[in-house]
Amino acid sequence: MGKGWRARTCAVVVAGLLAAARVALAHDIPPATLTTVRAGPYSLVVARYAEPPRSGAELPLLVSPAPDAPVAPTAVWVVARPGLGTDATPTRAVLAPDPDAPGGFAGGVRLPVAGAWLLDLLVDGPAGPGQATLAVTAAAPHAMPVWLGWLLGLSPLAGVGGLVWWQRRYLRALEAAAGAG
Amino acid sequence: MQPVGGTLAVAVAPSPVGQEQATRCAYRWRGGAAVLLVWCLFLAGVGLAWDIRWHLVVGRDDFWSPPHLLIYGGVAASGLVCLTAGLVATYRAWRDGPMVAHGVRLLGRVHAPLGVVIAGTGLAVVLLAAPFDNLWHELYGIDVALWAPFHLMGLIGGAWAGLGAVYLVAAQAVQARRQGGARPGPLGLDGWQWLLLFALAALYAELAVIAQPGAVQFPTTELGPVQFSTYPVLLALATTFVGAAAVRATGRPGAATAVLALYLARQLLLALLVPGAIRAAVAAQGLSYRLPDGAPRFPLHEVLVALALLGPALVLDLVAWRAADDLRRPRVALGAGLLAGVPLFALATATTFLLYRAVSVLQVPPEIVLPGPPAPEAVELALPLALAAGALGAALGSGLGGVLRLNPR
Repeated sequence: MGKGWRARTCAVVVAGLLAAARVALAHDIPPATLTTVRAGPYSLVVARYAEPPRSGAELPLLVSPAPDAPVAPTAVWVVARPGLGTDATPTRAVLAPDPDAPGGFAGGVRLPVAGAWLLDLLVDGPAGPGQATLAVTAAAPHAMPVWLGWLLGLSPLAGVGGLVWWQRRYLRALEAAAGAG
Repeated sequence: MQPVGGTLAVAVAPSPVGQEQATRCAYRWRGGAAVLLVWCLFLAGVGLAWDIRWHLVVGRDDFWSPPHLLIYGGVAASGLVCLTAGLVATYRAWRDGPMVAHGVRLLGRVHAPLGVVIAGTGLAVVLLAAPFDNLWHELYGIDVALWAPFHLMGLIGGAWAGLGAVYLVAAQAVQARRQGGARPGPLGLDGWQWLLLFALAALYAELAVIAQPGAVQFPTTELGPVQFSTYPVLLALATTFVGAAAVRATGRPGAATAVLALYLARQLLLALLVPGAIRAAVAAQGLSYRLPDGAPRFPLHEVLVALALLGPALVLDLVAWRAADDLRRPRVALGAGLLAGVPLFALATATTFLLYRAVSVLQVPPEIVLPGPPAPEAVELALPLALAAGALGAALGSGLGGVLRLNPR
């Protein structure tokens, strides 16, 4: 078996590992909090997918019209303003229509510093513009981010790969010795 | 004997006086170390099976839970066996001069059997993973899946250690053949070869634990727009790998079925032991179950899956028997893996769907969200992937079996 076979084998193994990692990271999680707010003429439900949100990480949001709302927005923006005592500059995000939630807008806004933040929801639609504000507190980042955990956790696989490589050479040496004997 | 390549290579010294006697002596103490290592790792494996059920029905109340004590007790004892074997090999190599029986040389002066080096490395990985796993639970909660970074790190380390035990026992089988001490028993295999199959069954159990979340908790793998069922691919890879290694290491068609039969016996034993052990420990510590009707039941589904695995193993054996080949030739090994992939695909797919139809048997607490069975297109794509995984596993297993058949270190 030549180098091409080895390369193909390696590619299959790497693809398998990537697949496993992808699957392990893909969690369908329910929202952490649901808040109903009024933005001008629009009644909205804001779903936050992290509670508390972590500084340095994106806070995933889903903004949907409330079930009994007579009118729904057609565009949603978010501006995150640092609250009192938080040394940071505002960040912005445009939420995109969510194909899985009709009438809903999904996206994420980054809170780069731990502390108090104010999320301004700016909406526009057939009933004109509107605005609502939510207060959130960004917690300090995790002691170990998820990506570092996976990198460390799967690092022994490099050793497994090295062992396989070495044992292929060792097998050839053993077979040669057995043939000579 | 020629020196082998790589940093672990050792040259054999010219025949010293009494080399034959020293080799026989090494054969004895290495045999003791092999039996002890297999036993200690078996205990750690029992602890692992106990711990997985414990998480599900009791939770993760404390790092020093009874199953954790058994796992880390087994790991510590295995580590002591490896350390002692390394010290003895180093002392003997210093006293008698280096010989094949002293294993490989590390860092210039340290000697150890190759299996001990591999097992020791794996055990170090397991121990390294433990504090990180504890931190991960504190950061992200108790219900992180079995496929969490430091669970996988520990499981990979455990499988690695199990592979070391396989190497150590296989080298004993090689030495027994060379010294004429091998007495064929059932299936034409001697005692060391049967212990080798037992160690391979333990290695398979570890790989099956790694693959198991693919059945229900992560049944679908998404690669961009492409989706496929996870479990058939992983089960095919693990089963053909160990089955082919067994056939080639022993040179006997029938060895793959024997390994899976030993695995079935192990699963049956654990299915009988673990629920009772959990009930006893919960009663003794005054703990409560996560579900109102949460006392662990006999996991019939685990035993049935282990029983059904005899079919694919038989396919591997039949191909080896028909081809009059111990899966040494790559074409035969690949063909056997490909053919065994078909029943493995069917078994894994049926397992996923049947468990979803009777999900209550898993006793999963409501906090753990199950995503549902894979879509039909994901199942369809899993078929060629499972066949490819079966072929790949058999090719890798054949390579491993070749080393096990010949390695005396």
